[in-house]
Amino acid sequence: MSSAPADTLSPVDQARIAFERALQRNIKGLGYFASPAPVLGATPKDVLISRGTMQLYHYRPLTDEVYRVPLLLVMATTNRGYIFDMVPGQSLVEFLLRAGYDVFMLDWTAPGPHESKLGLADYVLDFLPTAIDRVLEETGEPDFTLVGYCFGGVLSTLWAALHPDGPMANIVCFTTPINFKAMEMFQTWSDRRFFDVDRLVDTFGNCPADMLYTAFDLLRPGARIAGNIRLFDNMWNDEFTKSFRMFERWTSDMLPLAGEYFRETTKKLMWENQLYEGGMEVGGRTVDLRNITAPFLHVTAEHDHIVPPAASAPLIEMVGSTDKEAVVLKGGHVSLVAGGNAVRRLWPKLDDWLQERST
Amino acid sequence: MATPDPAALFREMLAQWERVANQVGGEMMKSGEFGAVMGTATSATVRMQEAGREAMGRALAAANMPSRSEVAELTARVAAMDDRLARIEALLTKVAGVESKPPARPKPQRTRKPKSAKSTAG
Repeated sequence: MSSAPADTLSPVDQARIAFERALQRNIKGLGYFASPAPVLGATPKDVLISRGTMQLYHYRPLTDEVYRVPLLLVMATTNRGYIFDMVPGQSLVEFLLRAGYDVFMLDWTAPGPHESKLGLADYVLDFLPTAIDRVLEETGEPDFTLVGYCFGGVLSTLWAALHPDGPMANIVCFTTPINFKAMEMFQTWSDRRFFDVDRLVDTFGNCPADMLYTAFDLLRPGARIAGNIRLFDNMWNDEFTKSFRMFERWTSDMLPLAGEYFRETTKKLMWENQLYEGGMEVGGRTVDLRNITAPFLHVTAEHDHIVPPAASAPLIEMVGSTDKEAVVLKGGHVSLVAGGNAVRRLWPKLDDWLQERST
Repeated sequence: MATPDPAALFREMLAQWERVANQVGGEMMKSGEFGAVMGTATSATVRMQEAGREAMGRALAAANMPSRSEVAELTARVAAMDDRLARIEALLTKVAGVESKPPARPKPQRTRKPKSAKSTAG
């Protein structure tokens, strides 16, 4: 099929291309609905811990020599960790393994009804330390690098602030919110005058995934319709449809949130903005972000509609590290970490930053 | 002779529509009124869930079947027993002096150096 720009072609060639694409669209459209979804998260790994909602993976190294400092990725609690490991060639995990890092991931599964009592303290003072201990035990190293994405970054900074003498060599956050008042839409929807979080949690136990999915979907009201039209338009293009399916599957594969955890984060962060304005406590211990002194990298996305730059930007100023860097890259909340944009921008930046600090 | 591509025009229009829909829709959804509507809708869902749960609870009790909360309680107890068994197993292994052998995993050398260091050394 011709790849020349359409506006340089004669009307006859344009008509021919339009016809070919229409034909392909129909043939491949049938295949799209009949074929299985792409296999995601398939990089070989060992499950080191599987404890209820908590999963710790160790990815099999792809090089004979790795950097001394292991790397622990912490996923956001609302989504699946395979955003870091989509398909070969589009997997951050694979990229890091090929670059010589020893990669672990703290991932989550849907919390069961019996896990509705899990609170923020369980995540910050139990799951994270358990995962960290296991990483250190597995590698025999005294320290590690912590990498948190979105709310995984919040959990990571909370843990780091509460363990100033802990074994953390470096910390990297991707699009991590700190000033929750700047998340305007979520603020409106969780307005305490109208949103009864206690009643919701007391009734449902856990915050249902479909409720969260609707909220995320509403952040961009035109995106779903435009996305589906674009899919139809590009149905002839295998690369486009493959990428569309990957991201579509991931965005719709949301996790419910443990009830107490959702109640606590709504009240402490959405309502009282404690992490930014002060007074944040986890398990009765006061959080002071100035306690974080390890080398710190915060990468945010210019067009992030979930965690707008105003919500994430203040983090860098609030941590006590002297070796710290904030980077704003082109892209959105998801395209920052996965897809073609991430391959070109975030991944090389991350590798550059980590290399010197991983020996 | 080159002519404007109608498909490209359509794509540009779609992109513009999406921008406007996101902007206008987003502004509307940020409003207090929308927050109130959303809060009311959530409350209604919660009330429906409560009513459904109550009715289902009565039906299950009449059929001598366990309710959802009873099943959840049982699940929690099984999970706790599972944890306890894992701890006992680990303790027994330790007491017996037999280390459980983890499956063989590749153990690469942890001596890798940054590219800059390699190029300086080279």
